[in-house]
Amino acid sequence: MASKGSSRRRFLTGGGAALAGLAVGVRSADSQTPTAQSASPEIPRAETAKPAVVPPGVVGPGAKDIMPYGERSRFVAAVRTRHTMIGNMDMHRDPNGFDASSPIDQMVGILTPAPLHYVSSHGNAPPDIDPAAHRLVISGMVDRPLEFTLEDLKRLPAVSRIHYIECIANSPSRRERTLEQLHGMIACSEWTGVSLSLLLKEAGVKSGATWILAEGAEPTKHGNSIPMGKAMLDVIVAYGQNGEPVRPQQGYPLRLVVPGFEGKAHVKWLRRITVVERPYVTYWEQSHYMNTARVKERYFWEQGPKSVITFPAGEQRLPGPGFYNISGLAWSGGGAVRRVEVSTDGGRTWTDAELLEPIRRMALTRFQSPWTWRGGEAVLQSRCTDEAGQVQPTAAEHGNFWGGARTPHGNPIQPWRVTNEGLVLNAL
Amino acid sequence: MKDSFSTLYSVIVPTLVVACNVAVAAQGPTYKIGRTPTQQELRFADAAIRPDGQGLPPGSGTAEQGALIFSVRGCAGCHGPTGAEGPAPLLVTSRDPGQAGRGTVHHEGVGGFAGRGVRNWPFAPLIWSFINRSMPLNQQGYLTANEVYGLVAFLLERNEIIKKGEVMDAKSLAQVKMPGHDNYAPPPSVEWTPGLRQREIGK
Repeated sequence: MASKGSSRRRFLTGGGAALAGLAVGVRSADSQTPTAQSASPEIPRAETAKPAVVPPGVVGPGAKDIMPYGERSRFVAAVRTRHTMIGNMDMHRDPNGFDASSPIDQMVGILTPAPLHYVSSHGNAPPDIDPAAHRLVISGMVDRPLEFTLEDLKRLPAVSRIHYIECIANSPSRRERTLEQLHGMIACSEWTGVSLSLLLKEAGVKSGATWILAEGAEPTKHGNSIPMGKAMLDVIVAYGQNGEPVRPQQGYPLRLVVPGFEGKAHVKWLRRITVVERPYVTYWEQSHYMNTARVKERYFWEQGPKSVITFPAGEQRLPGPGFYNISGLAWSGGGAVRRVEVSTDGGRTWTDAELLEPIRRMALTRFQSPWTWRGGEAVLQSRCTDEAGQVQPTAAEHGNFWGGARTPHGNPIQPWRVTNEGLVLNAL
Repeated sequence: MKDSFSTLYSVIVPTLVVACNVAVAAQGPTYKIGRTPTQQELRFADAAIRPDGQGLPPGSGTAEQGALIFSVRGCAGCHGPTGAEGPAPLLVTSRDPGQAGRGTVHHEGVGGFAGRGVRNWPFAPLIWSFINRSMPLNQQGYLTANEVYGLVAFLLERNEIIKKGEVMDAKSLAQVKMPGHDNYAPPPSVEWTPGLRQREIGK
């Protein structure tokens, strides 16, 4: 206090003459500086001066300090929607264990803000993991079993890539109405971490090892078998998500990111990787995600090409005829999106949409297409083609492939019907 | 001169080739970061069990023992008095066939998730594995190996997959054939490489 007071006094005394005429009339709260009080003009000080504009909620009793971790505008209200359809999946009955969709109708660009990333945790609340105590163990068919701390992993060369993650259950149906209900179990982030291949090479994979089993640390210990070819190709042991540590609901402190594979493979709260010689068929794999023998597609994991128009989309309302910029998202487990076509006449004609940069492999890709609504009914839809030449199927083709069964892995073309009144409805 | 050179090459070149091969095959660690866990640490109490039962520990149990454990260890509190009531996922379900007929089990079964029960699981050892690793919720590690064997025997007997009095242990559990086993897609016969999906669908 003493030094602060004396330095201020020095400043006021020395600079008093130069500052004459400024800030006249501001009452000094500093009665212990006789020099300033008597002769010099009073200077507004940081402690007492009020800023010209005060954002609401920043000052005053009970105000939150928003400076350390910023907040969005109070006028922005996009939130996730909790899923209620998967009742028994909440085996935990834990209010913190939930499934929720991303508000993709209110998002722009391709990146999902981490707090809006969809959640599917099989009813598990995010475990409260102390990063200093967390370990990742690589064992099984390796020459040198290894245990890594988070700090160990951060010492290693990093990779950072933009990838989508889509829940295996993000499969549209006729029953659902809004875009979020139909397609909201998808998100896209920049994931930063260490290449799994680097860690596996450090451990030395033995010959004959053809799979890995990745496991999480949550109560039900979700596990997933991943083929070695994929594990060595592009899988990330991620500690970062969009520039921050991975969020607890997304697997803090470590999440496996398996680009283009179904969401279930992206094991959260990753604690163990066991190198094995066959798929281990864990609880969730066998009880929820295994395909039955009649289905042609068996263990692919790689997701098919998919796209959806996010504006105009389910339950939105167009105010009247005129110009609209059709906007949407496209993605594929098979690589980069090469082409998106849009039809506004129920599929009779298709035109190429513009793909917005960045266009990354196994990442959401934003597309847009100009459209003038002249009133009257219209059916809008989009069709994705990926770098491998795979084309998104129609609902009929999709249903035919799956033998009419409602399945996960759903990637059919999503038609939206615009009514005469401008209401947009699910037309699957 | 020429002779000595060719002699030199004939020695050096194969030596280099052999040395390179050894270096590649050995796959030594590059960064030497991370510690070596002890054998004790690697003996995970909750390790995943292979579908064919490899990794099942010593111990045994019967349905009678399991019935008692089911009530005194709190299983009944969530799964219902006999495992058929819920509200947690139903463990004992009817023999109604066709519960794993089409699509994936995800959307099959009477009553969706609740209808599947363990009878639709393809591999019996995985019931042991899951109970051991994940049950009771938030109290994992509470049950002994014998208790888990007893619970598995109880569930298999209640689902009419084994007979009363059959003892479940590492050997017998691995031999139990689940009724829905053949309804499931077997593991893929081809190695995964990028584009597998497209190639398979294109067939």
